[in-house]
Order: sequence, then structure tokens, then C-alpha cells
Amino acid sequence: MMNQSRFLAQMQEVLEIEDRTLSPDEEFRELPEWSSLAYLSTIAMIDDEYDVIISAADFRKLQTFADIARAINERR
Amino acid sequence: MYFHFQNKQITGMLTIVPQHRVRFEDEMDNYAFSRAQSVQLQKVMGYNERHICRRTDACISDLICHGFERLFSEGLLTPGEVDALILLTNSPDYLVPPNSNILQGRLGMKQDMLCLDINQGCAGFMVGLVQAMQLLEQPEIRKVAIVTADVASRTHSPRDRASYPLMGDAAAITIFENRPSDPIHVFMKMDGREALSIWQPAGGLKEPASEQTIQMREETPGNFMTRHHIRMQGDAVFNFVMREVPGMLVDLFAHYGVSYNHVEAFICHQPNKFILNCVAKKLGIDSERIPANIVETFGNSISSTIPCCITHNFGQRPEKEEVPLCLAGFGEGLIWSSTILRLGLLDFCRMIEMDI
Repeated sequence: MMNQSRFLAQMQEVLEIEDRTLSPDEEFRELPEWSSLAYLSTIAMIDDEYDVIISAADFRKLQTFADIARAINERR
Repeated sequence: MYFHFQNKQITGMLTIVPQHRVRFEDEMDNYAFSRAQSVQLQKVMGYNERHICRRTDACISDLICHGFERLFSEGLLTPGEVDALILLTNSPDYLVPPNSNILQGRLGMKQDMLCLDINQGCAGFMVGLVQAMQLLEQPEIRKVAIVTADVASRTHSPRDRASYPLMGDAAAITIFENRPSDPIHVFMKMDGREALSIWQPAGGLKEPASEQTIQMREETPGNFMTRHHIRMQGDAVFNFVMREVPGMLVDLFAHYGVSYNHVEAFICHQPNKFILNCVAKKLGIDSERIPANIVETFGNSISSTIPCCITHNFGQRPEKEEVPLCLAGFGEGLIWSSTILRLGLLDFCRMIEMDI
């Protein structure tokens, strides 16, 4: 199993959020830092760190950071 | 699959770009990006400067004829020498007849030749390369002109902020001939299941032009286009590139039995800077090894990014010496293809600008 706090720290870095920590239940699409570029950076980071590619159709169904973490785990 | 060739060479390459340049900074307000987003896009994606036609009626045939006429006037090619003209484009002047035939007539080429239009985009240069090398197996075919051309500024919506600020217009004429060379292996794979990831819905018989198809609609948040504009499902294409391209290059180098240091650079299709940097990272090579300066200097000209990259970055050097390169095209189709070859002792290797 992946380390969830490590994953959240990685997401924080991707989104360039420095002033607070992310929580697993946050809906990432609602964050002001979320953009199409942040999305691509997220896919690239997941591929890089976990060697996992989540299809565009599957990613669309994900809402929270915990959902992404779960999707990664299911594909490892 | 691999295509195998021997004693085939690129012997000339001319890129034609419009003189007119547009800077992202100057048109940022059209797209409603925040200041921070714009800076990010510029730095990470390569939104910067591009060459596009100023004339709204500019066609690929204008760029192509300008290029051929320059070659003829400088004595670098004669119309009668061309035994095959293969045109690869997403933006033909006409759907009927083949545009390569129109070019043949307009340029005064002989009857004893093959003209062929191929509907191809991002991997167009690689598909053309395979076609040229196959045709050269025919004894009567000595010179093949592969013509890649796209006026992407007209096929993409000006209000599609995900693609338009990255698109450029260009054409390239690449000549192939039988000349002594090392064996050439060309990797080629295709996956039509995701064919509609890069797509122009209307204009064919499936969705003919109508009042509805010409309406600008918000297809994805903030991106407006008609059904006649080419659209891309960015995330699906990005996933595809990350899934297939690094692995393809690993396979290619293993097939040749050479290391990455064998080539001077990886000349890849350039959809954006970010994707190329990700490929470099995955291959474990320095990002400088995959030039990404075409998309931020000229724009993504679809089928001509590889010749643009060569003529811009190497100038006339390949006219004087051999440069070992890896070439890779990927995208629309979906197609991914690559090869390693020595580009050298070309009759011409240049980029010219056209006032259009």
C-alpha cells in the first residue's frame, strides 16, 4: 500500500500549495490551484512516482485526493 | 512493427514558415487565464511565440509552392526530377481531388510520377518517411518529395485556449533518394481504438456542414469551437504519449544496439514543452536532449514539427557533415513511430520565411 501522507505531500508540491496541508477528503477540482495544467502535472507525477497511468475516463470519476490514492493502489 | 531499409537517405530538407509572428503575451487577454496561469503556461507548456499566416485565406498550397519555387530558382531541384510527391496534411485545400495532383500541375512536374495525398497529422513526417523509403525500392523512382504541411491556425479555433496559443503554420519539403546508408529501422505502431482523441467532427459526410456545425460552442470549460475545428482530448493524448513513447524509444535503441549517446538529439514531434520534458524524464535523459524550442518559437505545426526542428536547430550543418539523430512522431491516429538515422551531406537543409 502507498503512503497516503506522502501522496498528499506530492500533490501539494504539484499544486504548489505551501501555506497549508491537504486532507484526503478534499475535492481537488474545487481548489483554486486546480487547472488543466495541474491535472497533467498530476498524471505525470503519478506515472513518475508510482508507475501508474489512470485513464482519462477513469480520472473523470475521481473527486477527492483519497479517490486518486485508491485508484493508484488498485493499479499497482 | 519494424520497417527495414538500406541505402536510403534524406538528401534535402526545406521548411517554409510564415513571416508573421504572434506573441502569447500580446494575446493573453483573449483567453481569460489568470496572470499566474499565464506565467505557468509560458514556462511549463511553452506558450510563447509562433509563426502563423496573417492572411485569413492562406492555404497549405501557398506555403508549399513558395518552397518548391525557391528550390527550382536556386537550382536545388528541378520539376522533372520528382518521381513521387506525397502530401501529408490535416488541412488540404480541397477534399476532392488529391491536392498533390493540383501541386503537380501548378509546379509543372512531369506526368511520369506518383502523386498521393495522405490524411495524416502529428506522425505525418514518420508515415511519409516510410512511404518514401518503400517507393525508392522501385527502379523508376529515384527522387521522392515528402511534403508535410498544415495551416493549424485555421484548423484550430482561436477561442480554444488549450491548443490555439500553441499552434503554428508551416510546410516542409523533404527529398529522399537511394544513397549508401547504414541499415535503417523504423518503429511503427498504431491504435485506432482511440482514434477520436484528436478529431475534426464535421466537414465529412458523417457530419456535413450545416447551420449547427458552424456555431461556436463551449465544448470544454473556457474553450469555444465549431464542429469544423480540430479538437484534442488532452488528457487521453498525454496518457497515450507517456504510455507508449518512452517504451518505444527504449525498444528502438535496443533494436539498433546503441546507447542514447549514439545520437546527437531526439527530434520529436512537439505538441508542447511539458510532454517532451516528461518523455525525457521517463527515459532518464537530460531534457536538453529533446529540443522543445519549436513549439515556443514557431508553434506546433502538426506534420512539420520534425523538419522545423532540424532546420531551425541544425541550420545548414547537415549540408556539410553527418548528424546522427533519433526522430520520433506521435499523436493523431493514434500513431507512434521512430527511427535512428544519420542526417548528412544534404543538398540543402534550410528554413525560409514567406510573407503570407
